[in-house]
Amino acid sequence: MITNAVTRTEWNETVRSPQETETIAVEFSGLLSQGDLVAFYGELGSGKTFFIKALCRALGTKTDATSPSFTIMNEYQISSDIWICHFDFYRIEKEAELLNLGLDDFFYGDYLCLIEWADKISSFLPPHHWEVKLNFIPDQPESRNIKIHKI
Amino acid sequence: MILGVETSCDETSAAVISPRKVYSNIISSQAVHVDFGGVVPELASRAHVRKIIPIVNEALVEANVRLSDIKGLAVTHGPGLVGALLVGLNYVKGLALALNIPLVGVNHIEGHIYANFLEGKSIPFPFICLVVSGGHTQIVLVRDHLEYRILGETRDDAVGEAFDKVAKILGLPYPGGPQIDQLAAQGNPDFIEFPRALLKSGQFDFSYSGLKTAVLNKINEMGEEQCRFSLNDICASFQKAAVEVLVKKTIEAARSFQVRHITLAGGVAANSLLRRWMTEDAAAYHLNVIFPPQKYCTDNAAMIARAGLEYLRRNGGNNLDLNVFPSLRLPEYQKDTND
Repeated sequence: MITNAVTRTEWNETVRSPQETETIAVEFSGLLSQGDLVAFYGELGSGKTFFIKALCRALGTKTDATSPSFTIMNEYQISSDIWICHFDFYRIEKEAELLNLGLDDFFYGDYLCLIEWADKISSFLPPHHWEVKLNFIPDQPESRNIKIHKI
Repeated sequence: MILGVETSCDETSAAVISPRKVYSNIISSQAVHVDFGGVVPELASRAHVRKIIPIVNEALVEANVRLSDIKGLAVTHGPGLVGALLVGLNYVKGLALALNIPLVGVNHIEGHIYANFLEGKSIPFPFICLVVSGGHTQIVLVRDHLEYRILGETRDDAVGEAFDKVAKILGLPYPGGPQIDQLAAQGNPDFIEFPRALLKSGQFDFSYSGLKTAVLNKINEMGEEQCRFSLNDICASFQKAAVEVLVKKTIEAARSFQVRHITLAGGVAANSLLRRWMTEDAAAYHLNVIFPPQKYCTDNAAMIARAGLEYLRRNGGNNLDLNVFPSLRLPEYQKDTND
C-alpha cells in the first residue's frame, strides 16, 4: 500500500468538472472534526453549496445538504451526537441583523459549522478556522479555482 | 377561537381564526398600526422579540376579542432559525400557562398546506400539494388530515431561491420573483433552451442549482449590452425552464398516485406562468387544481393556526417541554407496501 508521507492540509488547484471538486471535498473532509468551522467564499454560482453537499456526503450525513439561502441555517446529523450546521448568509446585509441569534453557541460549540457567504459575517468568525475559496475562471464555465487553508 | 403565532424566518405574524373564519392575520412587514420603535433589521430574533407583543395585540384588537376568548394556541416550531423560532414558542408557552389553555407546535410546511383550509374551505382527500417558496420546494401527498408523504423535494436550491438569485444576476430589484414574472410576459420563452434538471419519469425530486449556473454562464457569454437588450427573453426562457419541471412533476405525481386534486402553496404559487400552465396541463388529464388565496401564500400565522386547530381537534395539545427544530421535517405516515 502506498501512503502519503504527509497528510495534505492546503489546496490551490484548478478543477475542470464538478467531479474534480467532489474529489477535493472528499479529501478535505478527512481533516475535519467536531467543533471545526469552515468559512466558504465565492460568488453566486461558484459552487459553494455543491462543495458542501459533497463534503457532507463524505462525512456521512443521512440527508443531502441543500441550500439554506432563505432559511439561513440547516442541520444535518452524522451520528447520535455529531451535528453539522450549514449556514448561508447570502441575504444578510448588515452584521447587526445577526445579533442575539445565538451564533456563538454554534460557532464556538461542538458543531461542525459550514458557512456560505462568510464574508458577510466576518466579525463573528472565531480566530482559527478553515477557509475555502471558490473562484470562476474566465471563459471556462465548468472550471473553478479552489483554495483551502487554515487560519 | 385559536391564536396562531409564526416567527420562523423574516416575518413576525399572529392570527385569530376559527374553522370558518379568519378574524385577523397580522404580518409584521404589512402591519401599519404598530410602532416597532424605528427601523429594525429584518432577520434578527431581536426584531421578533420587539414585534411579538404588539403584533399579537393587534391581532386581538382587529379580531375584536380578548385573550380569555382564545381556546387554543398554535405556534411554528420548525423548520427555521433557532433564535427566531424560540421567540414565538416561548411567548406562546407563557400564554398557555397564564390562560391554562392547550398549545400545539406546527410544522411551517404543514402550515402552507393548511392555507388551503382557511375560511371554511377544504380540498377532498387525497390531494397533491406543490409547496414552492424561497426556502422550500416539495411535492407532498396528503392522504388525510395531518397525514403526509413527501414524494419529492429539491436536492439543492429551492425554486424561489433560483428566481431570486437569477434576478440578482440580472440586476433586478428585490424581490426578484415578481420582477421576472412581469418581464417574462413580454419575452420569448424559447429564446434560450436552459436545462431542465431531473425531468426523468417516475422520480419527483428537483434541482435548481444547475439552472441558476446555466443562466449565469449564458449572461457572461452574451455580454452586458446584449443581455440588457434581451432581458425579457432571458427572463421568459429561465421562467419556462423553472416552471416546466414543477408542472410536469406535479401532474405526473398526481397521475401515478391516482390523485385527482392538486393544490399549490408558498410564495411561488403566485407566479402567473405556473398558475396558467398547471391549470392547462391539469385540465388535459381531468385533474382539479386549487389555488389558495394570494394573501395566505406567503408566511403568515393564520395558516399555522389552521393546522394547529386540526391537531387540537385530534390529538389535543403538546406538553410545555415542546422544543424548536431548525430542520424539522413533515411528519410522514408509514408507507403501505402497495404505495
